[in-house]
Amino acid sequence: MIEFIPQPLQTRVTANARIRRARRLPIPGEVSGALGMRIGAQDVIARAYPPKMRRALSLTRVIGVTEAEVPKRLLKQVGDPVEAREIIIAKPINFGVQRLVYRAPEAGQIAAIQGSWMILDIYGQPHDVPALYRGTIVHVEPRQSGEIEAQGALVQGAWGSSIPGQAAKEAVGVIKWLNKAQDWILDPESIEADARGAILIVGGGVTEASLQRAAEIQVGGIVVGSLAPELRQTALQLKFPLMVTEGFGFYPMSAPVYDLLTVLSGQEAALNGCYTPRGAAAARPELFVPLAVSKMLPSDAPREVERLEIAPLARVRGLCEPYLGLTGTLPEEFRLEWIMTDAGTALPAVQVEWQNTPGEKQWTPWSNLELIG
Amino acid sequence: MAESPTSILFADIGAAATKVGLLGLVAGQYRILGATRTPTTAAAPYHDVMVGVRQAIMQLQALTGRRLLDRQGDLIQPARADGDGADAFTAVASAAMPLRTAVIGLSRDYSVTGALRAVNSAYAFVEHTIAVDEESGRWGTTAQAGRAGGSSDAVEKLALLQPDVIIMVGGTDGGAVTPLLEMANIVAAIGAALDPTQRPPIIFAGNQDARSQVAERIGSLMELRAVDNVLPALDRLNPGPLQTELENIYRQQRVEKIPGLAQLTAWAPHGILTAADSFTRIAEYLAHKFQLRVLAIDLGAGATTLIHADEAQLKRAIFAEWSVGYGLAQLVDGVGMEKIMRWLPPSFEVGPVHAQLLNQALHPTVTPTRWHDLTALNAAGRELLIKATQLWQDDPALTLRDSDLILLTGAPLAQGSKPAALLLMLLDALDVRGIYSVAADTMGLAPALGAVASLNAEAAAQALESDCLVTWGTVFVPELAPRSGEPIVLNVQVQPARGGRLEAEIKYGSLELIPLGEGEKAQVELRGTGSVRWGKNGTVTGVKNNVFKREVQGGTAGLLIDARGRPLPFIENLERQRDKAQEWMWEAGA
Repeated sequence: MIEFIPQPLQTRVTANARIRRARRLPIPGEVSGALGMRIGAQDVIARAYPPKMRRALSLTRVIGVTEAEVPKRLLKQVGDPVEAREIIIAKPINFGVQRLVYRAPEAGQIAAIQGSWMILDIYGQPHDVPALYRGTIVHVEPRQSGEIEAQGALVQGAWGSSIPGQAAKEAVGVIKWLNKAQDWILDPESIEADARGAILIVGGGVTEASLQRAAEIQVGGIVVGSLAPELRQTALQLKFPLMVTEGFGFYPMSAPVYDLLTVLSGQEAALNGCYTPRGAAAARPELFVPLAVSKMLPSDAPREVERLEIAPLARVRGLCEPYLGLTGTLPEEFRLEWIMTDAGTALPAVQVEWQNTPGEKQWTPWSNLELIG
Repeated sequence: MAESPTSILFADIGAAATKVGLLGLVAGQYRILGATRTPTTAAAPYHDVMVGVRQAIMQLQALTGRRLLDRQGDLIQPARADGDGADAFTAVASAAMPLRTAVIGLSRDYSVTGALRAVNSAYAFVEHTIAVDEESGRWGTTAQAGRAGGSSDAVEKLALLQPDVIIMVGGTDGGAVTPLLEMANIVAAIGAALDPTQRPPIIFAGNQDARSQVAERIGSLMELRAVDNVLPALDRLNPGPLQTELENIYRQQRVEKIPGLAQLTAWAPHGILTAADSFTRIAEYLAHKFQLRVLAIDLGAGATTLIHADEAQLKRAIFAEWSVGYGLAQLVDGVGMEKIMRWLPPSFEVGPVHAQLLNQALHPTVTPTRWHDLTALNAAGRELLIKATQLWQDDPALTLRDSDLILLTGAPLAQGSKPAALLLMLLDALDVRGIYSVAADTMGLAPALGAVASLNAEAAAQALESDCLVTWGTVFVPELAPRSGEPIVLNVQVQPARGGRLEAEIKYGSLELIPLGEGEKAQVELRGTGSVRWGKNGTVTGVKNNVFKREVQGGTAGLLIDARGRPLPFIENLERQRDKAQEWMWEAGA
């Protein structure tokens, strides 16, 4: 018997959690929320003004002057706004009869001039960061981020379709089941116009055609049990968030996720497709459904424990074959024992009663389980 | 001088798993008294690596019966008379994300190559390269015939990228300075356009004569770190100082910011080494002590590290994005499933293998329990190793073919793959020829023992040799040029010291596994036909007149004779190649 039982991995799937999430700008900008302010999911908490394009120019080359000449040929200086076609630098040619000029390709601002090099920022659209989580602003990092505390139902996913470093894929929409079979595969014909903006919940999987149809209809997002591995790249290219709850391959949505999402049908939810598996910015995809204000606990009430603890009869989920996507329970009195796997590896294991074999306990490697709930 | 600590607790905080070991004196010898492993807890919901470290230590307490933590969860240090606690603690870490770098230089074949070699040796990867002597590296178009010139796409990409570090290289020492000053203007302009909080540090590793003028242009805007030129002369690359500086920035920007590391640093006053630095010490130690050319490989969940060490030189490559853990998705995207499938028997289907690799990337601490799943992971491991060794392709001074010892550590061992299966993976993926030994770090602690060596070198060496390294056996890979009508290329005679005799004929294209247990020795004679050569220039210790005769060591796997030829022959037809892969597995006992 192994005396010390280490904490396993875990996934939160709960009807009532209190969470804190930082909403961060990609570049410094303005954080509009104030501490203690209540904020809606679609309210903008922060805004930045990234350039649409950054033009990098060698001023000596574009009009053929020496570096020393650049300052006297410049008609604009650092920080100056420029209109489209406005002249930035010019020099006389043909004995002063004509001028060789460089014009701004679009409206923008001179961001920097160093020696012979200039960076011209072309104006783009403001980048807004919505709150996404309806709640209260509890921390503000000026010019960078605001942190929101929110209460509600939380379903963490295994994989999300946002690409780290690129625009976040997020959506706020109504949870919509098109078919409540746990192993149903989304077909394009089922997605009708009323799915626009909704967060579709699909128990089994999706097809390439159904993803294309979902994009055409402009669904808000999709939460699906599993994703065929060859569709991963397609999902990454989608503009809307897609969250996978179990993994790659074909696995019906596990019972705790399915049950909770069934109860939440028709409610407004926020879907965050972020997936950064490690590092300081590690984050999992998640679906969050805020509680009605009347049901919320006051902010100073004890917070729900964010971590699940190992306990008798705790619910677990398998993380690899042959248990991937299955849920089970730990025995009332459980212990870790060394077992020899089919591959011949000695591993600490625990007895689990899996959902597909009720009443039967199977030794399962501890490292291949997570707590869920 | 203070006495060396005799009981040392050490930790390796990996990207996926945290390993902890306790080393102490047993009957006058340093031994590993116990080792444990838990998931790393740098990310949610813990955001504190100390949770995982303490969990692993608590497991270790249960395993050894020795109390190491006090009631507050602090380390009992030094060891008490009753045996509780440890004299010292040290740790290595590889849990941090690699640095994203951009390289801007004058010449692709010279200075930029030197810079890339430094980046490839550190926990870093290159997101963008500008080499001025390439079409894409030019500084935009020039005014011509009364028309103004245009902007530079390459610089614009750099300006939008926001890397963690920009590396500037170019010129030989004493050479022209002017092109570097223009480069400095570019970098300064990019920096000036960024918010001051987002400006990356710049490492200047070019012509030393340009340093002060580069500093004048950049220094007031951005943090500038000048190091020795990566190309001091046209015929000499010097990537070492740049590599060191990248490692410094990695430690400051990444390792020191791992959540919870401050507490760990308080326990380890000698500082936290990176796992690659620590493992490098192990490779160097083995190379010097046994006068071997060592190829050390760490297949980690977050990064893949290759080290080649001999008495004269040391080379390292870190594949920071692709790995057999978190980096499996990138590996699959990068090489494609077809390449991975070529290593798998026909019973494997591409869809389930693809799914399994992606699922392993989601949960790298998972331990597959079926032969089928481990085999699929090892197929991906082959492609990873092939890619990783390509990082060294531009270095003519490095010949992997002539390694005497291959040392493997990392995830595939922790996952429990059989030695023969991993031995075949190494043979398939690495073009190492001749006669060499293969050893494995079965406890997964060798990388951390490099850090232990800074506290007590003797303890680290003894623990490494007694407890960590397990010899898998000796491998024979002759160079073959088969002639028609000559199917038999080797006649083998093995006379184990314990008695008995074994003779075999090895056919061209086959593998032969001859059992010879760990610690056993045998006199081996390999008589080659005219088409057989051993090692580079046909020279390998123990070979005379094309006959190898020497005493060799056995191991967990035994003696493996690989007469498939090098480079490894692949059949173009994928199905037939997969039949062949099945044969290779059967022959190697994988």
